[in-house]
Amino acid sequence: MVSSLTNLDARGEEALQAAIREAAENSARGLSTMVDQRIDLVDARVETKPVWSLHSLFGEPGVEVVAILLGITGDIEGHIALALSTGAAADLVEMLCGEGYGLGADLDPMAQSALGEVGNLVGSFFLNVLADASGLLMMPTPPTVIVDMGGAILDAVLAMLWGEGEQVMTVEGQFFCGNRSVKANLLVLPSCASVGKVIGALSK
Amino acid sequence: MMGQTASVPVGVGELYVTACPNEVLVAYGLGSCVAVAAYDPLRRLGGMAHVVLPDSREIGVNGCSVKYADVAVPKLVERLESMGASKYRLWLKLAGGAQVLSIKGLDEKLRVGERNITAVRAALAALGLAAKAEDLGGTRGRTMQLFLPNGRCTVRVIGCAEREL
Repeated sequence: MVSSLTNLDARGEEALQAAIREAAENSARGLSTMVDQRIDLVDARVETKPVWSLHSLFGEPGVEVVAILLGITGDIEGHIALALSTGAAADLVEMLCGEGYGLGADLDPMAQSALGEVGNLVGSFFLNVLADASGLLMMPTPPTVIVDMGGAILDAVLAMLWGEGEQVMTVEGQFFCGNRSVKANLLVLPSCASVGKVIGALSK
Repeated sequence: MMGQTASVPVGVGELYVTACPNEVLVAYGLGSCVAVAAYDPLRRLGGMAHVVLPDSREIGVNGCSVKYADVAVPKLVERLESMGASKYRLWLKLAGGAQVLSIKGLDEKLRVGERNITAVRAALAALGLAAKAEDLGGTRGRTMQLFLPNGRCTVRVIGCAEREL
């Protein structure tokens, strides 16, 4: 399994990078439509990293973040996550629910639902492009919204992936909403086997 | 007079032992992972393992890695004994093993926390040992600290006051 990530064929990797960039940009377009404001995706990149590094992918592992997570099912397996600071999540909720509707001490059902919708939309727009390009079936699971330590949220995903190999492919990028500066980190974590499947399908 | 304390992060899949009296070992952001803290009050030395997965034999690769409970627990005790600790004197404390993440359709695969708890307790029992204190399970992340000067152990959960373990 490890070899599927460390010995990636250069042409296959290039095709994967291009498809993922397009998918990530499409998710930014989806988000722009949802909030009715221009949202840009900055610095979208695909990287191969040691699995243990996932623990700090949301920042310092002990620091509180708001994460929206979706599983990927169908022909491939993996996870999509959007991570925001609590301040950025509050801004995003206000953009979606209206002025004055910030994030309280706890994530109330309305805020949770609004953030879940953001995850749903970003995940669907991302997977649609990748599924069209590869011909593979990819479906997002319903979103889960969690407020907790960044490291703790990703622990179980890390354990799943570390059972498969020592390396993981990550897709990272940051959404920026101009005047509000809402920064959200987009992470896509496919399983090792799924990376090989997508590259194989894109190379056909 | 005691010198300044130095925080030593014990990362995922790592094991650290020390006799340095001013060190504080910290496992940040424990979700499904279990941190095992051990301290010998007589020799004043201690260590911590940050366990990620339950059983190296299930995987069949990287069997010697301390990311697995069945490897990390005996290795932690062995390394402390090699520094002069007695395993029967050790204060053993556990934290973590939560199920923070729940995704419909993937829950079974994500239920690593429970399996880590069972595996850590089994590995301790195989050495004739048991934990003196535990803060395990649930759905919230934790940060655990072990203070070398005195073996004090604390656990922090977001939104709650830090508590002694």
